[in-house]
Amino acid sequence: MPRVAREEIRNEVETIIKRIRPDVKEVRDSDRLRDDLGLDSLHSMELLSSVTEKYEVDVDVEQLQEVRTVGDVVTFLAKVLG
Amino acid sequence: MASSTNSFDAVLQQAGSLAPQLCRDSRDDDEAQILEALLSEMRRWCAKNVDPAAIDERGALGRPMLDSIAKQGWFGLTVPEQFGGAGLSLKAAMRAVTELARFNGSLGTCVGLHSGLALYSLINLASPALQQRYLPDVAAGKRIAAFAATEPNAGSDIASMRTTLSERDGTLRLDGSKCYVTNGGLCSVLTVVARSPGLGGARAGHTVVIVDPSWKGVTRQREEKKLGLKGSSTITIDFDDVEIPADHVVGELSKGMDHAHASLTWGRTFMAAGCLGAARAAIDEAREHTAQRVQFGRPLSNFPLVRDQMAAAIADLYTIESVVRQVCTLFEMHHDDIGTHSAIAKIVSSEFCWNIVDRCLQLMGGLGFIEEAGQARRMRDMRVTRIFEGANDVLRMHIASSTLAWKPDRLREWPRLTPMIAPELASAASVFDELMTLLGEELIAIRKAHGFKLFDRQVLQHSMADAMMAVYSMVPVLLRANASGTEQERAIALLACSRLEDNARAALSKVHAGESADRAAWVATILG
Repeated sequence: MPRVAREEIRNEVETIIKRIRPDVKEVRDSDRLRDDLGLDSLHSMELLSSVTEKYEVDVDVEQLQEVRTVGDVVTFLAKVLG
Repeated sequence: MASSTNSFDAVLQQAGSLAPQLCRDSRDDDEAQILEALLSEMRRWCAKNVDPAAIDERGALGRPMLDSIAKQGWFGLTVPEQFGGAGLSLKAAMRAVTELARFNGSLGTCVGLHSGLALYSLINLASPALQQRYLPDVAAGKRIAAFAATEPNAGSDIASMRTTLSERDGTLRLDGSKCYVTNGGLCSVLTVVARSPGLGGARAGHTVVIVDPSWKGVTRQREEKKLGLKGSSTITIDFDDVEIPADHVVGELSKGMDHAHASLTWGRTFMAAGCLGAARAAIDEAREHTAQRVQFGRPLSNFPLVRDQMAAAIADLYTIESVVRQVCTLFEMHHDDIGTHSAIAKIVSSEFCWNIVDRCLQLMGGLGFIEEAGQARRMRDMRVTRIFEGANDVLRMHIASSTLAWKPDRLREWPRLTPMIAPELASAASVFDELMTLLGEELIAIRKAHGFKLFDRQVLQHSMADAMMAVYSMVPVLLRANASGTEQERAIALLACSRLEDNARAALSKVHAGESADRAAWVATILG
């Protein structure tokens, strides 16, 4: 599995979020997926599906129970890909 | 992330306490007495007052009928007694709506939507002061309720709604437009879900507010012309700088999507009640017709194929009723999340009802196609149940994707039903246990193969949900028949399980095969 810089992961996550929700103009690490970005459960699944497809990584769904914010997603992926 | 509650565990772990509740329409004996009197009065009143053809012709239930329903107290089925309502349990209220829907779809929809989706927030989330302000009038039928969430560009993707609640000069203001508002033309209390950027500390939160449609800035548009349910009101409502008093926010600011989800969960159960009533009426009429209609020297009801199809319709009706009672019971038991259960009940009831009405229309031959016979109207009325309160195709994706959050070890080991079930039903219980094992293996394989990428496998998700729903529905059918003990009911349950087994095996076979590359290529070639 290739090492991927956190910055690159962060940019990719932001790009995907803006594709899913075109009305989102700015993405902050502290943004909550649901409350601040308006991602419902299917949107969140689409985000994670796109990210895992992009980096060809298998994610254990259980590990994601605590993922709430954009920063959580990036940190989780940086750990998996680091 | 999604709830990690495994829907099968939730029912199998509580099978012992669920079973007796599946055999009754009410919470307890006291409520059973109240319900019996209520149903008797509903039958008497409907037989006298409900003329489905006249309702469709005038395109409305009409003020005299609404006033009469109000006088009967039927707009207060779910309103707590302290506010003048009947305070019925979800199960008993659902049974009452089933009875009204048996006589007419528009009537069942008006009272069911009012009692369920439209009143959830006021009954469960509003402040005592707000409840006191509205619920006594609601119970008395002076205020009919409606729920507004859908917008022209926000149907199943409800999170993309544009109607906005914002704060200007210290006052909350509502702007936007909601379409397909059932009861919209009749309502005088309206629950609205709106996006509320910045409120409650959430940049993209949503908030639920109660609106009195008589307020300045609220405009009702004309009644929609619909395929069916012609007597129910469906309109678009516009909001132009409507001032919303701060105390009319229900639940927490910015948590509106959670509240809307809870409302829809409750509302879908009432929608299922409407399907149950329509399916029961369709069967009653087809049975009467096939008993009287003589062809080739004997009544249609003596022909083996007619008998087989009629029994299958009765078995499917039993499945709908059992699944809906299970959801109501789980709700009454304060189960933490009945979202998946109610989505299953919504799909099963709407699709089984559609098939039952279609079969009953067929059994009535040419008469079934004639307007006066009633099945044609019923078919038109029921078509929307596969669409509104969550389109079935989208709910299937929610059901399938919910399994990703389930704990893997709970997919390998399931509580067995066979030890709990009497020998007369053991063959079906054994099939259920086998299907559960197969389903668990497939769900594990899918997690391993796709993980979150399952999101893009919509065709696979569709089959997964079909398999899950068929297997899931066997549980209440078996538990109920096992607890009730009559020979006829056991036969109905065995036939119902046999039909569910067919559905489950067909869907599991598709799940096992995965999405067909050939088929995807054909689709790409056909559609470009």
